[in-house]
Amino acid sequence: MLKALLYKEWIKLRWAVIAIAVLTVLSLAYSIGMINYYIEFQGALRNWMFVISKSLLLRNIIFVKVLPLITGLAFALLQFVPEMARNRMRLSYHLPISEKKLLLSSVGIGFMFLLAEIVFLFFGLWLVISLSYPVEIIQKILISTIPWFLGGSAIYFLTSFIILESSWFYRIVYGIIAYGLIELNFRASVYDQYQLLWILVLIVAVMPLTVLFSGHRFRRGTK
Amino acid sequence: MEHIIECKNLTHYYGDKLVLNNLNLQVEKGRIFGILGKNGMGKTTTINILMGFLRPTSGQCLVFGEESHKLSPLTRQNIGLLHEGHLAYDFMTIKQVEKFYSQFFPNWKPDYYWNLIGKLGLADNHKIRNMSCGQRSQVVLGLIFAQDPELLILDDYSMGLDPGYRALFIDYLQEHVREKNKTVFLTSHIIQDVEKVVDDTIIMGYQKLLLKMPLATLKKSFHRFEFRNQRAISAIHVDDENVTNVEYVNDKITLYSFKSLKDIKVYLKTLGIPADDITEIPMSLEEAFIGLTGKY
Repeated sequence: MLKALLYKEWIKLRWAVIAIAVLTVLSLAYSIGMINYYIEFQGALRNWMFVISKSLLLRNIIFVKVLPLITGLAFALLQFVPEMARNRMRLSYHLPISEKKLLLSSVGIGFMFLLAEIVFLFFGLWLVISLSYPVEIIQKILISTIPWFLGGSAIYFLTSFIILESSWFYRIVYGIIAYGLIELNFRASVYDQYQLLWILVLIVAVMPLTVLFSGHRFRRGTK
Repeated sequence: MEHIIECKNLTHYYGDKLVLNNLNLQVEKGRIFGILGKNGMGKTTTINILMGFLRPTSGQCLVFGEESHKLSPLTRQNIGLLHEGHLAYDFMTIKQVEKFYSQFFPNWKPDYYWNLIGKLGLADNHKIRNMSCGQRSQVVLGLIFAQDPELLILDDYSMGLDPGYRALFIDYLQEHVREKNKTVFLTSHIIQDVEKVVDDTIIMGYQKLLLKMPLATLKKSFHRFEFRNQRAISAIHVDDENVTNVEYVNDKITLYSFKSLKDIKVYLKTLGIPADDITEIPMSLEEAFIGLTGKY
């Protein structure tokens, strides 16, 4: 049954998975050009200084901030809007599988694809910056980007939660709360701003459970 | 007699609006059961309760002995459900949707699906979203047949279908369920189709059940009489005993009743209404439905 659900979600997500992967490759290629440009015009020493003291690179790799966000949002929309259109989710609820298993499997599969894109981006970024910078800078940059990846996961879970909700009033309320929770992950623009990264991880880790709530409300016809 | 579906004192409100009022019904194994009623009389609400998409305000619905809002996955495996508007995963192709569903049902019979789909003359990679409503209805019916469930619940299967596809749907349904002794619970607003296929029927009126009986009994026991008498217009009133409904056009009176012609003549005589020209006019199920529910 899990295989069948994976098949269904893959049909919905496959083009987006490919498109995001292509976008990631293009963004990484662009960042190689950007780093080379900085080193050439600022000189390697000055550039390293800017990267260390002014978080120069972190401020300029916007795509690492944006790509997980776009991916999380796109995957949630592509997975759950077709299910909610014309109450098509009822087809899924009639499948011989428990409601909890169905909902958690669906977001689990979507998150698995999102995670694959995030891991691809993370290691791609590591590879790109390791071409020009020492291990200390690589560590600083990669650790500083973790909240952005968590933000991508948060937008995926919370958008799924909002789409599965059947009442527009609650969707708006949840939307406001979701904005606050997602924004938490994008406050830092310099290194080491998050001292308590594990709290963000914890918040994102409980987010998949929210779909059980809105999914159950839909199932019961609650408006 | 084994009851596949049993609803007891089913009552449902949407806010303050009462939609179902103490509905009781039983569906026996191997029977085709049809719910008829005008729009807004609670047909889809009943189906939604049966499928656990709505919890009734009070009362209980049992499907295969389980409460309808707590149906186990194993029981759902044995229920083929056609949603209103022939709902399907329209982002899938003909082939993909069969591959998807086949993994959920151990008794999956692919031949049932492909035989029906073969008649459409469409390629396997044809997207469901690019099909007409009629073509989609065949895909949905094929999937339900392939699932091979004991119970089929069909919510307004005729919606959006042209006469050709309606006839095709009915032909296949009848052949499949009669041959395999399946139980069917259906709603439709095309009454002449229902007449061809159902064994038992209930007719739902505004907040009440108007009638519950086998279709053959209804056809035999419900009558329509016509006569002309200007004076009788204000004298005849609907009551539970003699007159189920009465309509007037100029001096022509149409009277619907479960009484025989002889009994109605006696009844009219007690009211002092001469009706020497009274005759019984045979009815189709659709005319009987209008007779029971009224034209408005």
